Amino acid sequence: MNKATWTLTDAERAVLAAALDALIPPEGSFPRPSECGVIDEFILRRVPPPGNQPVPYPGLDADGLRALLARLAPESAEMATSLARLEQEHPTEFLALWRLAAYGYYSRPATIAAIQRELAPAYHGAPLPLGYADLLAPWEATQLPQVRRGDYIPTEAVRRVDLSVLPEGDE
Amino acid sequence: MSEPRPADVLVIGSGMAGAAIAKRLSDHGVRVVCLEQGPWVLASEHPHYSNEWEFELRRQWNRSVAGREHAADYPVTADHVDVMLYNGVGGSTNHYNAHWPRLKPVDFRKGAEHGLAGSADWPITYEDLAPYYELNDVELGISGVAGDPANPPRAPRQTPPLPQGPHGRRLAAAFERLGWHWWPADNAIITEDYDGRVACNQCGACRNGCPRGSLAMMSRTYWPKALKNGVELRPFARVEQITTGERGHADGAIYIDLRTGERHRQRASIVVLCANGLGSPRLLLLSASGRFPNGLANQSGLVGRYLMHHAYAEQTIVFDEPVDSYAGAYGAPLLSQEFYDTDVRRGFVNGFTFQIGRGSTAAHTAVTLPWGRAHRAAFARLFNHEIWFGLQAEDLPVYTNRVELDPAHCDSTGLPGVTVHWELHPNDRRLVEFGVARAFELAAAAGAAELHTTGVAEQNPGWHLLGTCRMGADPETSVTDADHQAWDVPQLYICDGSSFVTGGSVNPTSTIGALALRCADRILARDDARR
Repeated sequence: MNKATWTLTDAERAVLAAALDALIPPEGSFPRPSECGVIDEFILRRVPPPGNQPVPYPGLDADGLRALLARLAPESAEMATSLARLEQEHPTEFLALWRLAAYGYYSRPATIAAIQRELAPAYHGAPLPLGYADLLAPWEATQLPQVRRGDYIPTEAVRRVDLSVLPEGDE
Repeated sequence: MSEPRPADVLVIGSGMAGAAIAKRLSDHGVRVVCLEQGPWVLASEHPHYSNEWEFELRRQWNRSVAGREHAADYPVTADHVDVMLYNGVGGSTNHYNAHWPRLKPVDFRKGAEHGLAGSADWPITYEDLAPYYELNDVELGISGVAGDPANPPRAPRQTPPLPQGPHGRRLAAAFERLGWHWWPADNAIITEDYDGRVACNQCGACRNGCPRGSLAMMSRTYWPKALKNGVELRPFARVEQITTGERGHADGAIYIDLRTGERHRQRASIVVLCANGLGSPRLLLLSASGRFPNGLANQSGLVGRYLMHHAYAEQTIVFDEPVDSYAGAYGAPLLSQEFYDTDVRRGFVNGFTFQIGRGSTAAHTAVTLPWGRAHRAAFARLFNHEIWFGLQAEDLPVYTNRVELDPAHCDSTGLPGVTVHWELHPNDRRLVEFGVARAFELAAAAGAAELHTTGVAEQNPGWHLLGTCRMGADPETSVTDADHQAWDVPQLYICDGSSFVTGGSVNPTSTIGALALRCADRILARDDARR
C-alpha cells in the first residue's frame, strides 16, 4: 500500500477533520471519521501530492484539496453551513470531498466492525479471501418455477408483424 | 522495422473472440500470433484483498476509459454513453459480470419480423450457432440449469446455478405471484471446481475481475490452453494499421511495442480482427490507404454504423428486512423473459429481459446518500436492504448511431481515438417505459417498501458494443459475409460484438464466443489456413 508523500498543516487538518465529522456524523458504535484513519490512511494516500495531475476520480490533487479547505469555516460549529454553501457554489469540488469521505470512511476497519455489530453480522469489508459462500445457501433443485412458463418463437415460425399499429415516424 | 516470422493467422485482440479463435485454430495445428495492446492482468493486481476495493472500482478498475489512467487505452468521447471496455489480455472479460444468456431464434430474424430502422436478418440462424454455444460453454464452465421453456433446449450446465440468496428468493416468489416467466440464470461463473479452476466463493466483487479465476476471464480459461498449443500472444502490441497486399488482400499488420516504441510488421496469411465494437471499426478506419480511402472493408460505408448498446432502466428495490444483498456473485442469479418477444399491441417492436442482480456494497451505497445528520439513518435503511435489477431492452440498429475516428483526442502513440454518437430510437423509449411500469408491478408483488428507478436511462452504461461491422448476405448492406470475411478485403475476418446485426435483449458475450468458434471453423475449412 502506498504511503502518503505529503501532509497538511495543523490548521488544514483541523478543518478537514471537522468537515469529515460533519459529512458523516458518528452515531451509535460507528466511529468519528476524523478518528478512524480517514485522513492519514486514506486521503493523504489517495490524493496526489502537490504538483501532480489530479486523478480522474475523485478529481482532486493536494493543491485542490487545500483550496477547498480554505473555503470552509475554520470553526466546527459552522461547518455544516459552510459545507452546504460549498455544495451549492462549488459542486464539483464538494463532490470530490464527499467521495473521499464516503470511500475513506466505509473502508476503515473500525467502520466495518460497526457495520458488523449493527447492520450485517457477516459483512467483512475486503471481498477476499473469505467470500460469502457460508452466508448464501447453495442453489437447490427445488428452486425452480412452480409452474413452467415461457416459450420462444422457432426460426421457421417467425412471421411479419403488423407495423401499422405503431406510431408514425418509426421507420 | 523488424519482421517477425510470418504466421498462418494473425489475431488482433485477445478478448472473448480473439481468445476463442486463437485456441480453436491452434487446436488444429494452425500457427497463430495474437497482438494485444494491453498487458497481462495479474491476480495480485485485483483489489479484492483490500478494504478499499470499492474505491478501486472508481479508479484503476473503473469500467470507463475516461475514469482511469491506463497507458494501453485509447480515448473514447461519447454523447449519451459511458463506454465500458478494457484493454488487456482477456479484453473486457477482465471486468464483466459474466451474465450468460443466449440470443433466441427470433433474434436472427428481425428483418423478417419487422425490419424497423436498420433491423435485418442475420446471414445465419440460431441453429447454425447452437453447437458453438455448447462448445463455448464447455470451454468456460457455465453455472445454471437446463430446461428453461423460454429458450431452445441446451445441454446440462457444467455447474449448478448461483445461490439465489434471500433477495433472489423474494423476487422469484414475486414472479410466481404475477404469473411471469422466470428461470435461474446462466452465468460464466463456476459454482463447483471445474477444469482446474476453483469454485466461486460468492465474494461479490465480480466487477473488479476475479483473481480466483472462478469467473470466466479469458486470461484464465482460453488463454492458458491456447498458449500450451503454441499460440504466440504479444501483449503491449498496439496495431496501428492492417496491411494489404497487391491483390488487395489482408496480409498482416504493423504494430508498436508500447514498451520500446519500436514498430514491427507481422505478416500472416489471414488476419482476424477481434478488437470489439469500438476497436475494430477504429482499426479499419485507421487502415485507410490510397486503395481504400474510406478505410479498410468499408466499401459499403457501414464500418462504424448501426452501433447498438441495449436500452436500459435500472431499478433498486428496497425491503424493510435485511436481505444479505451485499453478498454473492454479481452475475444475475435469475432472470425473466416474460416480455421478450414482440407484441405490437404494446406500441413497439422487440422486448426486454429483467435481470435480478445483487445489492450494493457499503461505500457504493453510502456515496449515493445524503450527507450530514440524515446520512446514518439513510445508510441503515438502504445497505443490506436493497436489490438491483436491470431492465435490458433491445435497441434498434440505427444508421446514425455510430463510431468515428476522433483526431482531436489521440492515444499515447498519436493514433486517433474514437467518438461515439448514440441516441435512443423512439420505439426503444416506449419499450423501456413499458418495462418500467412492469418493474413497479414486480416491486409491489415482492412486498417491497420502495422502488427507485432511473426511468429510461438517458446516459447509456455502454456495457455492450455491438453492430459496427455487421455481417450479412449482401455486400451493399453489410461489412462481412456469413463467414465473417470482409466483402471487399479477402483474407480479412472481423469477429466480435461488431458482427451483430441485431442485439436481442441479452448480454452478448456468450454469442460473441459462439460466433468466434464458428468463425474459426470457417477459417479451418479454407485450403490455405495452414502454410
